[in-house]
Amino acid sequence: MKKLLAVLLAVMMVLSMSVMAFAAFEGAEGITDQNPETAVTDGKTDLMTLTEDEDGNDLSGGVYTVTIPATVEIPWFGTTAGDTFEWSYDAQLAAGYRLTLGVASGKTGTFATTDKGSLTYALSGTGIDANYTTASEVEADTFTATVTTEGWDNVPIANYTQPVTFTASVALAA
Amino acid sequence: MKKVLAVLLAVMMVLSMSVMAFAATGTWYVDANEVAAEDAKTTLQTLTTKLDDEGNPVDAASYTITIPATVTIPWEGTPENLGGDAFFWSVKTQLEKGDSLDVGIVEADRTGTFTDAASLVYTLSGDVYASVGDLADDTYTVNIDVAGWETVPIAEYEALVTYEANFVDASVAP
Repeated sequence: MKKLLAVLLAVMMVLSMSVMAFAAFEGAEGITDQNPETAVTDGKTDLMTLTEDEDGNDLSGGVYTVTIPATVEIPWFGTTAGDTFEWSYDAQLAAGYRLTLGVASGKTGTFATTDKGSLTYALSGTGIDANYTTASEVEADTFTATVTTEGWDNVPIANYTQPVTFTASVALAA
Repeated sequence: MKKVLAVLLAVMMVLSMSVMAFAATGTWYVDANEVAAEDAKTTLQTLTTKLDDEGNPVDAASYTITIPATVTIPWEGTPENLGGDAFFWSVKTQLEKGDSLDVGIVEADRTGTFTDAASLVYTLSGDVYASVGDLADDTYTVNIDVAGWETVPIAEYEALVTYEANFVDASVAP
């Protein structure tokens, strides 16, 4: 009994590995009609796209990329027109799925503090004020984020830094 | 019963192996460099330069020294019980962190005589010199003592007092 069960489980495991290979397509048969007048119209070849790339990576769940800048430099006292930076995404997801983007941490912060006060900043823009969810499975866009800094007179001049971490997740559309 | 449960669990485990294939693949780029999701962050950085009216970067460090144009002294001076003769000067700095400014009245002018009245002597005391830090906003008081009133005719005599400012760069300070 044990051996039988072991064999059965092994067979089931092997069978589950081959699920991807069962994508069937028509037209696998050769043209067998010997009548030269009808043979051509009965045979057909289907072109079928796979959900794997040329390296064999499974893309059936979809792919997305998010591009953010490494460093955003802010001149002392800021830029008159406003300090901004761009970040972008490109999503190609499985049917029914959506990409949600946002800022995990660093939406607001303090560069430095003295007894006169603090040098603080706040980010704003699409995907920052609130999480952004794509409207479809295939979507790409570039967002502009604005950095508002206050308290320039409160601290000595220096290269102060603060990190901003973005977040991305994929889920079924609500 | 145990065996049935074992088989059931094994089947469930095998079937769950195919679920991973449906997860979307996300790629993060920081500038043009692909990074792991946990390393994807943008750094906000303040610069030590500001933009001038033409948008060119210039040194943001600055200091302002405010001194009186003229200090008038009543003949024979102001009595001590009324506060004596004195004047104020101030310094405001916003320098790079760690830098400082040595500022005040040059040593040669801290005592002297009035023009065309060699026996009418003044002496300055109090806050004639100061070393201020990278973020200062201070006001200083200089006392004036004049001797020899009785040795010269009564007139409006003048003496010039010169100030100096020496910048101390923290990166090269001993």
